[in-house]
Amino acid sequence: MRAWQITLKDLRLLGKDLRALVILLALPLVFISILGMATSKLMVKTESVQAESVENLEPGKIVYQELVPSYTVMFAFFLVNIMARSFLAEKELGTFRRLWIAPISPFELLIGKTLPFLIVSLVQCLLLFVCGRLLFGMSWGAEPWLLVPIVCCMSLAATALGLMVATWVKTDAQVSAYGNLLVISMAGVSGCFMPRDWLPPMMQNISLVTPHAWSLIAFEQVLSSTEIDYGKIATSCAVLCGFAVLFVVSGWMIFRKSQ
Amino acid sequence: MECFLGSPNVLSASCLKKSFGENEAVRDLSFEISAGEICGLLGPNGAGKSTTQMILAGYLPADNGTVSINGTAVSTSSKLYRSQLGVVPQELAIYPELSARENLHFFGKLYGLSGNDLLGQIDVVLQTIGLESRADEPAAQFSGGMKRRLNFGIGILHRPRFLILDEPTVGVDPQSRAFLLESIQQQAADGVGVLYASHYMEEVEVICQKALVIDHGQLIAQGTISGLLNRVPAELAIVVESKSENFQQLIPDRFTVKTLSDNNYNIRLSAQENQIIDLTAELAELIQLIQADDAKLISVNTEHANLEQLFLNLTGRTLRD
Repeated sequence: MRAWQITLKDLRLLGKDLRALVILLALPLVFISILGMATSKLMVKTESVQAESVENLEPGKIVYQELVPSYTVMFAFFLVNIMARSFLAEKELGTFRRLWIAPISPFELLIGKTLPFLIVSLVQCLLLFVCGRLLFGMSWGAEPWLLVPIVCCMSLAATALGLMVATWVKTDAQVSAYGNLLVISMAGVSGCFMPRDWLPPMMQNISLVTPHAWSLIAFEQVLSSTEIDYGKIATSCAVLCGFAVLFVVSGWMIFRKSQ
Repeated sequence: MECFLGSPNVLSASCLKKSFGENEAVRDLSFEISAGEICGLLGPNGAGKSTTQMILAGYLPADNGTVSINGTAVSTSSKLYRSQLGVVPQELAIYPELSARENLHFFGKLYGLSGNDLLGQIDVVLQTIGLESRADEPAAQFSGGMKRRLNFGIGILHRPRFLILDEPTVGVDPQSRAFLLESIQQQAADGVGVLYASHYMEEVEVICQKALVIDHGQLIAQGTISGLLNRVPAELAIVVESKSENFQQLIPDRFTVKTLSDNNYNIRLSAQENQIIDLTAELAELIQLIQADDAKLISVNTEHANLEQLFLNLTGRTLRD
């Protein structure tokens, strides 16, 4: 209950943070719009986009079956920086010490600080997919309900990675340098910048060390495959949850050590 | 060191030790603070004040020793200990984007207040800190003094039984300072025990009943403010008229005697570094000697003893990092 108070407070602060809204929502929409316009004629029905559900799409809209999930995944993980900055701000203000000595447990404190970002991540993904459909005319595939577990597992992994980085970094410069390096390089390796099919096989295998890649594999099954492979989606979700557990445990250990 | 502390004080700290690697930040620190008592915590930079406060606040575990508030020992899991403790840190630990009321509401909830009790207590605190008329403005728009008052208000919101104040008046104007000091005294009058860490000796002298002086992690003096001041001779200077030829030999060596004119002598006594002298006893001894010599006491001058002098006598004048 007291952890929830921290969550509500952080949601209120995030609501007042224009920078966070721009990074998490406006920026991916701008990227999707520009790249959609630039590449819509290049990407028609390719190997990676061949589901029956997209057969009725106008040729110019097919590109969004790739762009929307790719940039949703990429910008979902930009949460890492915002989360790290939130932790740092608490430390710099001295409010973190106030929270630490309040009658709540360290675990409640971390939950309270993490939950708002999970909520933000879920809302971000929802809005991006809604915009994808309404603004760009993308299809949610034959079984759109499958997007729900994928988005949930990806948001869990992104928030958990944010927690780990937030407990590790000590300065804003570290967030800018290491946070961005981590997020952008993971996005690049995993295939957020181009269809995963375009990556060489070795690169595709290497990319499996990132939660981004597993998110993209799952999204591809729902949005672009001729036949949905439920096993692949389940495996991807399980791996994403595994990443989340790994990041949370690492974050918890760093947090306890640093205190 | 034998440590026995058993009296029913609000806060009891016994045999506290804390080291960071080779550096012993706190060494065998024991003290008690009663309900309604304001106790100053003095020490140069790096003396161990912050570490002591962090241990008391439950932010840092001690390597050895115990701390309790009303018998409840500190620990990371002790919600009872934490709910009885209020902390006003030196930094402005408030959310600038939130209003004063929102800040108080959030921390009130965190300390388990709710409903009408919370709303009523927020109004009481806003009145106490003089921010009723600005309660709904973002704290970012406040002056330094207003932020300090809000910082203090958050510390007292949940009606703690013990308060730790770390330089709560740094950087504020005289009006806000006076306001804060009165508010602290009011807390004590309501039965709250207070530990008041400050470099402003005159504040400690005015509002504290007793003080602890620590250096190199050790308690080097403690007692009531008046008791501590009595241990500082400040400067004792008397002028005596004596017709004895060997008057100077009658005066003990620790006094400096200067001849002013033929029969007039100036006798001075100044404390050396780390020296504590009982001014009253010294003056009494001098008067006895003067009477025995049948000399005439022309004047007695004492510069007002203050905590700053005591502090410098105890901790020296060497610059600290």
